[in-house]
Amino acid sequence: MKLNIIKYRYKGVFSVVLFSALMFTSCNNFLDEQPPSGTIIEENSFENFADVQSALYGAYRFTTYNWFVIALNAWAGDNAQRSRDNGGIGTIYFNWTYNSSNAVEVEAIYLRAYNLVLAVNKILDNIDLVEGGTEDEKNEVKAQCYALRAMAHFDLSRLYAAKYTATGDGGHLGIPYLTESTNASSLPSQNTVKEVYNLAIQDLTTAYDLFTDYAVSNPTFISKVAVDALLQRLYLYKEDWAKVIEIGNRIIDNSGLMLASGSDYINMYTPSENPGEFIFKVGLPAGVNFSIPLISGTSNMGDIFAFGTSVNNYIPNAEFAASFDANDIRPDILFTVMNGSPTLDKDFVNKYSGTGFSGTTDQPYARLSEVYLSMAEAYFELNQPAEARAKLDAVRAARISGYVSIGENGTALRDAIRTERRKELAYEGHRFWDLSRWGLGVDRGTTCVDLATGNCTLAADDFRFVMPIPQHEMNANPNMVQNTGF
Amino acid sequence: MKVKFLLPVILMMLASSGIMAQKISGVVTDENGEALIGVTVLEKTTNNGTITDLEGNYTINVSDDAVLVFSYVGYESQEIEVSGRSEINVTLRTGIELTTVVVLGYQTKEKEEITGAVSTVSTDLIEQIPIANLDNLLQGKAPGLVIQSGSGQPGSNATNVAIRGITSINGGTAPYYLLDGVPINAQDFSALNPNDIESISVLKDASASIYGSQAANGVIIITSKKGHIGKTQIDFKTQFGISLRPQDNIDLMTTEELLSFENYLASQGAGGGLGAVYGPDGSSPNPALLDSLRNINTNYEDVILRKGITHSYELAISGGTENLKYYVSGNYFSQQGIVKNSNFTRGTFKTNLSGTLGKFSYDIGMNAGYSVSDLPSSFTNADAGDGDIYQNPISGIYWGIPYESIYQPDGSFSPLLGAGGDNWVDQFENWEQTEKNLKMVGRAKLSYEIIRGLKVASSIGLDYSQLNTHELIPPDALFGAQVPGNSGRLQNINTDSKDYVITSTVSYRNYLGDKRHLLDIIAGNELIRDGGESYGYVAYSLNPKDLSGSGASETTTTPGISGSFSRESQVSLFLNGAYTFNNRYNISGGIRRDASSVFGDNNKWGNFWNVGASWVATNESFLKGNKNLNLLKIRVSYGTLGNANIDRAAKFTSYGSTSYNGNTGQVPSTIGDPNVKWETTKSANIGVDFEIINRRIRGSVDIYNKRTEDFFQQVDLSLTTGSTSLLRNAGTMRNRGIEVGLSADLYRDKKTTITLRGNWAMNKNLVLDLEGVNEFESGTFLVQEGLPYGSHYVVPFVGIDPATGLPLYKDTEGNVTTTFDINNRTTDYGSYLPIHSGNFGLDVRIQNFYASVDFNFMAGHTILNLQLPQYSLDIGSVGIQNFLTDLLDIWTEPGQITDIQGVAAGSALSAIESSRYIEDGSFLKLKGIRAGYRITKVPGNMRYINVYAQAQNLYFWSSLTGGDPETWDNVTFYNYPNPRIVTFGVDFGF
Repeated sequence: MKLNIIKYRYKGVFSVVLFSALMFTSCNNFLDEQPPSGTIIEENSFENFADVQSALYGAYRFTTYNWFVIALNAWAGDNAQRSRDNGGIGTIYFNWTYNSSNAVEVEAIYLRAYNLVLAVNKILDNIDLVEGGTEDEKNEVKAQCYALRAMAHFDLSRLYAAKYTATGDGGHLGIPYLTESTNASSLPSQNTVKEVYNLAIQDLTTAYDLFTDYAVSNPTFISKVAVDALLQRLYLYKEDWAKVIEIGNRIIDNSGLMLASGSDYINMYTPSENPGEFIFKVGLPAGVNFSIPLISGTSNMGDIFAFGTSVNNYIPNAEFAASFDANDIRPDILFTVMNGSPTLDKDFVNKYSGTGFSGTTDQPYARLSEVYLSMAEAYFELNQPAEARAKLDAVRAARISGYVSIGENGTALRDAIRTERRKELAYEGHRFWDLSRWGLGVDRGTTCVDLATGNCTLAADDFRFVMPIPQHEMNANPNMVQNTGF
Repeated sequence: MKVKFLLPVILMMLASSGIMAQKISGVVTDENGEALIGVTVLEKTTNNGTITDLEGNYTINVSDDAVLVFSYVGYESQEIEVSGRSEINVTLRTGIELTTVVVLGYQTKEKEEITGAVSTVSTDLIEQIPIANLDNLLQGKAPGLVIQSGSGQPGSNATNVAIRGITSINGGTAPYYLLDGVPINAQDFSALNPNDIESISVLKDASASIYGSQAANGVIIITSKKGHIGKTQIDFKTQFGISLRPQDNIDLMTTEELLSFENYLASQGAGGGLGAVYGPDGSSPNPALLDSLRNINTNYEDVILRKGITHSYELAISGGTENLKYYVSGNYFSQQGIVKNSNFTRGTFKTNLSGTLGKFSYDIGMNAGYSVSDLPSSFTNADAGDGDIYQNPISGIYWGIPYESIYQPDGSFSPLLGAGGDNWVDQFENWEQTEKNLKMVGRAKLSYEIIRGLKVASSIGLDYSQLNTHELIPPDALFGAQVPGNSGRLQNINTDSKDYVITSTVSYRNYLGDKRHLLDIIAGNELIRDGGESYGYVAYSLNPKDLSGSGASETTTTPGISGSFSRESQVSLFLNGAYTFNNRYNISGGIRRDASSVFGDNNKWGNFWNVGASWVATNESFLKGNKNLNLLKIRVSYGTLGNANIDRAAKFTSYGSTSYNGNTGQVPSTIGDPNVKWETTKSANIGVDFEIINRRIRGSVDIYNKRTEDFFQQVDLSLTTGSTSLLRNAGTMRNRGIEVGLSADLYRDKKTTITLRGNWAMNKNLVLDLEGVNEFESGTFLVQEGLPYGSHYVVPFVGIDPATGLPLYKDTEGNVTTTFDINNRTTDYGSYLPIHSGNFGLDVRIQNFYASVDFNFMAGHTILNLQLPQYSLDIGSVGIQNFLTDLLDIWTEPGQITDIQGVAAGSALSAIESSRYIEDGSFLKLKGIRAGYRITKVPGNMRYINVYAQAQNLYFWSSLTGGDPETWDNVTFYNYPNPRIVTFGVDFGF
């Protein structure tokens, strides 16, 4: 009898234990975690070719780092003057007072460019593993990834490393060139500038071979022509003049692009989707602001120069604005005058006016006229003045109505090429680095009035032609070496 | 595993299961020999119990070695050993009802058995106080429980609730709350009726370890009321009162003062907003305007504040038999805030059924509530381009310009310069911001007693809450024309959370062999799933005659939609055991294994354990019966506790959504750490409980050391990873302290008791190790090894230079400079976390009359008072706000000694991070006074009538400038002050 009770009691205990056990059999499923909303788990991010396409669009989003390439070359160069209305935007660049920890852009853009590198490396990791997509489609994506990887590293090198020619053969420290995806424990060290250029050339060559059509069908995406434009610019910085000419000819002969003139020139800066002579530009649909983490208040191109029509940030350098020929079409796009507000400075940089002064505009990256002017520079350096003059005149003829060749020679020709480059590519991300390349300092001329420090000149080869490595990176990555002077 | 563990337990129980049942009867009387009706008679360690009848008689069947516990409200409980007797008559003495049973995790225990630091909050202290939110009621009620109320908005939550200090920086810091065993979200306490609560236990040390990965911040266990055996009891309670403005210690300028102050500033070329009133030389371009302004003297306190009405009605019906005990209650509570249009209305319904049916016992309960809060301000309005400030009516009291009129001559609202072109009265008269909160917490528990002491139990609990927030800026309000679309804005967000918990336990609690060995063991498992989702929309371009937002999508301004969901799951196993020898020596230990979906894949299971011991010295034969030392108990405990309230995204390496040139795309967004795990707190506690001099003085002292390891930190990553930082378990922090709780009967006889009670806690926090991470700034304070958490980081302020009127600061070398440079910041100005906190009060009972008074205090902390720079001459705001009269002492000439900088110094707002604005946060507050009369010998069927009056938040002493010191966090900025609330109430019992 007692035994039966024990059995009965055991049954009761067993049923509870069994109940608990049943609960636990489903335990593994029970603990399955749904990621927080707004999150795509990495494991699910590459399943089919559509995901690859989506990731490529995502990667392009990071090309908006080019905002700072344009801003820095405007603020730190001699084409613009800090407005008296300026509330502080870009001041440390205008005054060349940046250091490793006082400049949010220095950190934000470094991060942004490496975001692009990571995004394309992740695509290259996964593209051959996903379902769907033809060989040609995949090659087209891969080609863009290699090209974007080269572009990001080349721009990082231009920003955060001394120019290629600083040590003759680029043997000095550049930036880390990452050909594989990073992870949380990555602490890469700097490659030499020479290694950076060689790896970039290698990536661009791979991209060139993967692309099929040699044409610009949509300048907001990298094409085979854009790969050549990047290559040509890279050789220009490397001062490999023969390559600059070889690739320049390939573009002019095969791309079908023509130098824009008249209204075509004007229209290519408006949001009318007129590609004009653009080879590559960062595409921003009208009305969409892009955001760069860490940087607030700088969400469209116009902000570099003015906040709407009320606050002028940077006005055109007066001497530069006055240097244009009366028949030159370019001042129409470069400069304007606003009456009414703001109170102090009424001269505006007009290139990024978009839909009104607070509008958004695509970010220029490469145009056909640069290809011509780089060739002119290369021909001059190779002592072929006639060919140099021909390329220079081609650009002038497209911009100045009734242009008659001036026929410069010697240093006058060299200076004319440089002046034309300044005018043609003004506010498009070239000037500060062109001065550096040419071994010139910054001289803002007689109209320079600095409100804060009186700095109107920066000596040639000053260490501040190079941005500091962000302090965040120096703290987190012991393998990095800070740039000279910082 | 469980079978193995249970086998020896069952064998032991069999040894003690052959005990004969025995019938006992008797009568219970008071000291005057009068029968006591409804005294609870309980067989100790069991659910077996009864109550006395109208003649005070009881009958109960118990085992012959049982101990009977007699307890009755207002009387000291007694324990009597049966020892084979069949008749036991008892006389209960009036006095403090000593809580003998403490709810402790999944068990209840006798107070003497406990080894850890557990405070019980007497519901006497919180019942009937007209504050809707439980966490605000608990302020000061248990040593070491520090609560900062944040806002006096009726029904609002406390902003900070910390038990024994802050243990986490990036994880949660709130305690784990359970209502009848169901984990609940503290945010929606306001939808529950505090009067439905029977008891509250606060687990402060390793005893909380039974809750494993949830326990690091302490555990607050709330038990709601249940029915008792006996005839039906009906309680009806009603309360009515008013809320009044609290005191403040600010003095604002009148029209006359402000105009003359502005005149001076204009003459100094300062004050850009004064153009219409004063020209650059101080002369008025429009004397007629100036004259008309002089005749306006708007008092913004009168405009914005009011007297609020509170009323409350409550009906509770309870009773039952052993088979079915029931408790049903309903409550309606309505409170107006002191800011116009801030209201809180709540209806609650509670039901509980419990009882035993043979070997089964059950307990089914539901607490449901629905509350509606009207808020006078719109803090979440993203389209308010002026920032939040102008939409906070409290700022209006301070900022409103006395020479502006609320209304224009035609009766429409004036766009007030002081409100950034908006108008506070327009806001609270025409805007709508409401929060509707529906909450239901229910649990069903069934247990089966296999043999005496051995029980299996299963329960399922649910916490459902739905929060609907509604914001409307109508098209015809002033601001309605400034939002996108220029015609109003409507936002509705609905959030609901459905959390459930399933718990299964096997427990054994019984004497083994003879009564010297008490064994108490529980093992169980628990599944918890927390799920939530929310959705919402914003609509613009509203039709003034149809504010529903319908049709708004057809207009040019796109409505916004949003949504999110979340889900967390936890699986747990636990085992807790305690053994008591001879009523003197207690040892306890426990282990809990938790697996949580928020932990990284490499760290799915966390183990938490605790051990404790205690010695009841007064139960030793050499001390037993000593009249001067009634209780002496020494406790020690040690254990580990976890904090699983960590960033759910931390373990995921993820992609996010973006677009390029109109094409949707995905990008790598965050790097996750698969090793993410709970934060671990190691808690050690030594405590003493004592009662001396015939129990006249009762108290406890606890000393503790809590060491939190692996707390979450943002660890910097190389930017080449695409991320700036990663949340990682890295860092150690310590909280150390002492807690004292004391009560003393200053006077005690048959009719009168006068009791002084108080508690004091001191907690010192220190960040010990950041594991290689550099010091980092978090808001206004610096986190650095060797500093207390929350240390302000500011530039030392020396004073105003009498020669120049410029503020003087100290640089890092100690030199005095006029330059404000944030590189000169130091951490010499304390932390915002109070070191001392506590409460003290006096209770008086003279026969049927009772009265009490309560004080709260906090000390040893500093506040960055962000209201102050506004009043230290914010030149940019001259002409668009009012100022303190202190500014009339503005520096005007060399040699003048003053605290207010001269005009040449520019705006004080440009140097906020300065010790100039650090103020001592210490305060003492007269929290409450209550007096009442309870008539217990009422003719007819009535049990009692209780009439009382009380007042809350009467007065405070503090050196802080402006406002209520209790509402302040690390910074303060125009917080809604806690009002004075005076209420009168009548309770009837049938």
